[in-house]
Amino acid sequence: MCWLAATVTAALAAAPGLAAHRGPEPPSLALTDRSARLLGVRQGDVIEVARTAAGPWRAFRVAEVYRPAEYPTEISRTRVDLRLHLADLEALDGAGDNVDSVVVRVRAGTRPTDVAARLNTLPLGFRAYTSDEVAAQGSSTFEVIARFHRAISVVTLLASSVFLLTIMTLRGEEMRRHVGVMRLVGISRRSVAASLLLIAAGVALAGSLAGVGLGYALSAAINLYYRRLFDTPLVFSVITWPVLAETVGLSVLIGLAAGAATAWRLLRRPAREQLGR
Amino acid sequence: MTAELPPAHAPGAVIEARDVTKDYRMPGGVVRALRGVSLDVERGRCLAILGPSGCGKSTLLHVLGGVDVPTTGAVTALGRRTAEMSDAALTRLRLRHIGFVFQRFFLLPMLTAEENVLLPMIEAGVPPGERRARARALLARVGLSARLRHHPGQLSGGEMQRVAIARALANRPQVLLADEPTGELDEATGREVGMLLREVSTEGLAVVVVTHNPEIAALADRQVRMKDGVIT
Repeated sequence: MCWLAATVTAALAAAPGLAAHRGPEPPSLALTDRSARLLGVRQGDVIEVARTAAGPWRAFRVAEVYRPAEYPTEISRTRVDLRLHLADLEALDGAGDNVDSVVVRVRAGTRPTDVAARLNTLPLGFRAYTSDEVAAQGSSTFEVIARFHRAISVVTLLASSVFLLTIMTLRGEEMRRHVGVMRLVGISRRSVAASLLLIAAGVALAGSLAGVGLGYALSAAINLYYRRLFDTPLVFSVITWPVLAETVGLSVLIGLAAGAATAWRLLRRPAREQLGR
Repeated sequence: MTAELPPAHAPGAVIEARDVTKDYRMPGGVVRALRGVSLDVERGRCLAILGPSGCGKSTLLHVLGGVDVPTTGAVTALGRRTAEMSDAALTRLRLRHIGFVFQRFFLLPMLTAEENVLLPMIEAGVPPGERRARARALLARVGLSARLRHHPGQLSGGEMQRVAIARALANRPQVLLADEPTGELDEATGREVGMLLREVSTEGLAVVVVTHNPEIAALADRQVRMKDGVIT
């Protein structure tokens, strides 16, 4: 079955009571599941649709309630989406043959950019865009949000670095005497520094793994909440492997830097001073 | 790995101090902790250094053990002047030839008794099987066979000091330097530790014990007294 999409904002009357419609069978239409919920109708109900609130009203039977492909830009919209047969749409609109956009599917192996470029050389009075261009136009908001996310992640990394340095400083103070003992019993600076680096990297790795676990839990909670809120299967939060690798790698690097700073600070002092002598 | 150090140039003396002074630069000016100290530490003998707090006993011990170098004068440890040795060489000297025992034990709390004893041997490159056997033998010798897996927090003061002595003996040093080893122990336990140090010296080690305790000092073969940085 082929449906044409129409957005009817001004005039739509949900009339479940018309389910027992008398007379000739009304034409059929399809509704998105969200629109059906908004109108309070189900498959088989009859609703009335008009181009404007002044009418004329036409009865349609809801032949199908479907779940459309979701787009992030549309999840918060509360409009009602209908799909009508072309003849019914033209009759409702009263404007006759009037198309404002056409989707062209290209054959496999054909470059959409070439097709769009070729179409744009034809004097047809419209402009062709590739789906990537359309997506880019529609995702500018998300690019801004992504930049915010990047800024937040930089601030978070900076804060966690400071936190890690603080932990290492505190641990370093706690280890000052231990380092002094190790130096007195003949453990070389290199071995002590290596052990401090190992501890710092271990703390950073453990912290980042705990952070990854927390991130997964928060991500799941965010997805659960917003999917329910917007009634959508869209995924709102994703932790990708590159993000994981970047996070853990950066944490370990920061840990090593903190360990190196602590080792340098502790090992430049004589052993007897570290023992408080 | 380092080459073995040559034997002491004077028979019996493993460490010699000659006219040693040690100055510390403090905010209030220079403090002279040692003023022309001369002393021989001899193999197979136990030397006790007595004196009031602040008289320079611990400083002397650190200078003898290569933790510090003298400001003037000379300390010769196992045939080499410590002032001419690099920090790395002094570290190797301490690792292989000098054992330290401290008043507050200074065991690493995250390690078990056995691991504390193993630590210097790991650094010295003793093979795993040998170092484990040696650690167990040393802990058995100080009466702690049943405490191998215990952490310092699970041990009494006397037990911790015995672990510290086992650690100090791990690399079969020629000298054992003990800084107030009984200072944190009760009288009976302190005597036991003193006897243990005495026993170690009879096996050929040079033992130096800094102490306030005349009873512990009485266990030594020789006693020297210090006051204001000078041996009296």
